[in-house]
Amino acid sequence: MSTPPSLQSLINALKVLPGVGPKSAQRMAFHLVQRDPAGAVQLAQAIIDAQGKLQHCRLCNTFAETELCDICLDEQRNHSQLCVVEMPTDLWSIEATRAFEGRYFVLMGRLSPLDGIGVNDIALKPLLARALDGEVEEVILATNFTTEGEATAYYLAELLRARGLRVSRIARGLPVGGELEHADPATLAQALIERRDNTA
Amino acid sequence: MKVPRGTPRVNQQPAFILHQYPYRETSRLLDVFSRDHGRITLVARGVQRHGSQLRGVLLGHQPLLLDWFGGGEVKTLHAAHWQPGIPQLREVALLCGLYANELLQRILPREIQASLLFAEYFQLVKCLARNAGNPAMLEFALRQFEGQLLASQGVAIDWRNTAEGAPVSPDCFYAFSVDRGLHETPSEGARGQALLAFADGQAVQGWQMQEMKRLMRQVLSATLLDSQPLQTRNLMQEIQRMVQPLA
Ligand SMILES: [Zn+2]
Repeated sequence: MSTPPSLQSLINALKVLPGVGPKSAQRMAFHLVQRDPAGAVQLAQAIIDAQGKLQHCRLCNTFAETELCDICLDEQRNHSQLCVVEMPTDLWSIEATRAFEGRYFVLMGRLSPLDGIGVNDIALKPLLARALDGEVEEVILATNFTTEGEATAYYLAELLRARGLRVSRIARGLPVGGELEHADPATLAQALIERRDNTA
Repeated sequence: MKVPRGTPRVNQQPAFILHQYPYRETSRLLDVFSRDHGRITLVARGVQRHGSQLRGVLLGHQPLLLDWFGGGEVKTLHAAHWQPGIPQLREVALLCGLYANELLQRILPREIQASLLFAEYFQLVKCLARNAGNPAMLEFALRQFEGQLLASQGVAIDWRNTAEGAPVSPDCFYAFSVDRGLHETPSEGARGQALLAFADGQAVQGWQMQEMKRLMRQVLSATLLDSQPLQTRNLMQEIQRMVQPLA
């Protein structure tokens, strides 16, 4: 017996999710139609809603339902500092710390030459427009401390410095409350290499 | 981790990670260059989970000791230990390191031992880390590694003689092609002076380096690389253009 076409197309559709192969897609599809039809309807509606409503904020490129996101609309924020992150989740993490009063730019990715992701695949033009708006004085690069995040930070630093902007990179080191004894050795080594001058 | 009896295991194997790919929900696939087993693929399970200790260890351009098991195409990482001694690559040195990794990914066959090249790669990474602020030294280290990589794949170029056996002369120009190998050319090639200096192991710089770089590129694309452009080379050129907008 063959699979009914609508079920097959649901299975196929689920395979767009990262890490979901034919087997898991089938399991998810069965779960949705058999065990949780109400959840299935909710999921379908949520996907259509998000697709219809979400856009990229015109200034910072994060997801928003309006042309400008809440942060970009907030006049209280410091306009001279711009923090560049890879993904909206990074923005949310930094926001949760309340340690940063400036504004953001979300690349929606990172350079990854070994995956074929080059400078034309991240949001460079809007970043340049944002960084060169005349108000930004310092760009803080908060991409990940991975190979790709570091390569991206290097590229952006060169790009922005060549245009006369002050560029900084977030610091890395031991976790707060971390004891040297329990630190992972690669982090401890790098913390020593990147130690800062304390004589002032 | 429970391992069925009779499964091949490798312990404490010196290795570098060339690249990593997200795999399933919480794992990663690692493209690894190991000393005794050549280039292999490992799955690192659970490394994407919150609080995984492995994430601080599975770093590119850092010497590691890896334990794995399994006989198939994809083996399972069992343990990984970071080895001290090499600062993490940054900025232009990082791009050079990525370039070397891209070359290895494109050229090195899987599961074939290449211990000499592994030692040479180890030296390259050390050199990149120690000369981060010295672009000429970085370039030279890359050219040397390109030569070593070519030799490891059976493409040994004699920079002192053309393919026809004529000695390279300092004032003549040279090029490389599939059908003719290293040959003299009327102009538009690398000057013999650069080839001879490079063959002597001198840290060539300036125009000599530029000419050697072009020549090496000809050799690589004529012998080991397909027509796909190297992504890291594009990125480096992009940065070069920004740093010297008029050059
Ligand atoms: Zn915004």
